[in-house]
Amino acid sequence: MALMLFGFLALYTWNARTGYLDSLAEESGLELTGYLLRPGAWAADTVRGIWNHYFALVDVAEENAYLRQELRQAEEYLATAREEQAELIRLRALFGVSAPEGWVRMGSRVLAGRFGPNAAIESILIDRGYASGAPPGAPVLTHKGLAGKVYRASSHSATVQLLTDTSYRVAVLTQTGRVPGVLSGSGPRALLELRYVPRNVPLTAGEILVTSGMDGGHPKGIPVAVIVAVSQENEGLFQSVQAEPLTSLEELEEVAVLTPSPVRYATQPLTPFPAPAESPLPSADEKPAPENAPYADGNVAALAGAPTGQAGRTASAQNRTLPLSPR
Amino acid sequence: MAPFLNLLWWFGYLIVGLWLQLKLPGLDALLPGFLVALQEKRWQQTTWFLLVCLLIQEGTGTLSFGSSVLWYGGVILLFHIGVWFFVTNSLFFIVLLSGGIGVLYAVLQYALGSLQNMTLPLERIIEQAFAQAMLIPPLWGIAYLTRKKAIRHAESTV
Repeated sequence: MALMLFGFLALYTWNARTGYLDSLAEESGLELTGYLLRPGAWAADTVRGIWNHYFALVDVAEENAYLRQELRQAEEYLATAREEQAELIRLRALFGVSAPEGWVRMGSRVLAGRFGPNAAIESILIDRGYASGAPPGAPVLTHKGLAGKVYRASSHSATVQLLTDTSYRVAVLTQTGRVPGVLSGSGPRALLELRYVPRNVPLTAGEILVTSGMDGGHPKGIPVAVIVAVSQENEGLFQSVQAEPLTSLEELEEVAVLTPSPVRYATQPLTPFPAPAESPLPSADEKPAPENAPYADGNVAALAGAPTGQAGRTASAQNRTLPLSPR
Repeated sequence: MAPFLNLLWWFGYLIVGLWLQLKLPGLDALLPGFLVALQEKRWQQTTWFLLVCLLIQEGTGTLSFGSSVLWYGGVILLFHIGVWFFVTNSLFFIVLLSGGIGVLYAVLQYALGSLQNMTLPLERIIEQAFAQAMLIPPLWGIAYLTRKKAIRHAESTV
């Protein structure tokens, strides 16, 4: 018994240091589960689709009228938003603020909620993995706002840690007042908590919290939650602020995963060492570059760690054809 | 029992178990099948099924590797302690064992969560432990009866 316990502890410690067994379990168990659940999810979607399109047509006329009204309102809002967008582009160009671009959004289906006895944290299982655009740490959102981030991933499936988990933290700003704070989860069916907001800063219920981008893991400007209660009754330095997630985390069916775009790297200057128009003679401490030097032809891929030689040149040629975004 | 039919039964159980886990967040629906495997005392079959269960639960879980090893190891230990006192195929034994497994669930979740600096709500751990204990007897009953029927069918066709 003692030997078995010792063996387990040795295995646990070895895995904590190397992560080999975690990777093995992800690549086999998580991947297998994803493959076994996908046909069922497809069948359930098909049955639901048939039911919704052909059988559940009660109150459709009423809903249609309501949607038309919503559409009119949305068109009005869109016209205003277009004006604001144009202004935003001008202001960004004026102040040189880089847009939160360079991220790719990829849709993903939710396969399961907290799955199995080891799903200790608030989590969901999705049908994308690191090979299909969902590496660990990638933010996950819905059309309403942030839902969480990828916690661990196999090649084609991943576990997503939800915003409500007690160990989830995200740096946020209030949308109108631009007050910074850290939003943390408080567990299932509980409100989120906005921390480190000084007592003298005015906050109001109903204000939207968006990601500030300061934590490095989330791009700036994603809506996260709405403030529902502000209290200064505690004796600490900070206010007690509670917020509710904008996304309904218990009813997730599809989500979007954000990953850094490869185009981002193409926005770097293509010629890191531009040659002057009239090439002067090399100075005394300057040596001419050999013909096969990796950067001699402005090979940016080589700078970024891509293999040199023919493969590196191919990557370089591909980079040149990528569109450059305005900075 | 013919190997093909045997394999088919276990694969079917695996699919049903996974779908149940989908509908019952945080619970282990593969465990009753594992109890059936333990009762049959066919060690090769038990080992394979245990390996599949371990990989699935470890891979899809959010605790680091080792939690399922302790979980299934604890179940094996409880089962063998129970064998000294009870007839393993009786429902009474399974109900008692389920109670023990429920307690094991709560202890392991709390201990392993603490070990990884996770603040897990105690209320939910207790709720889930209770649900896990309640889930085992009916699921074991269904698995045991269908397995018995499949074996009988296989024997009658030989």
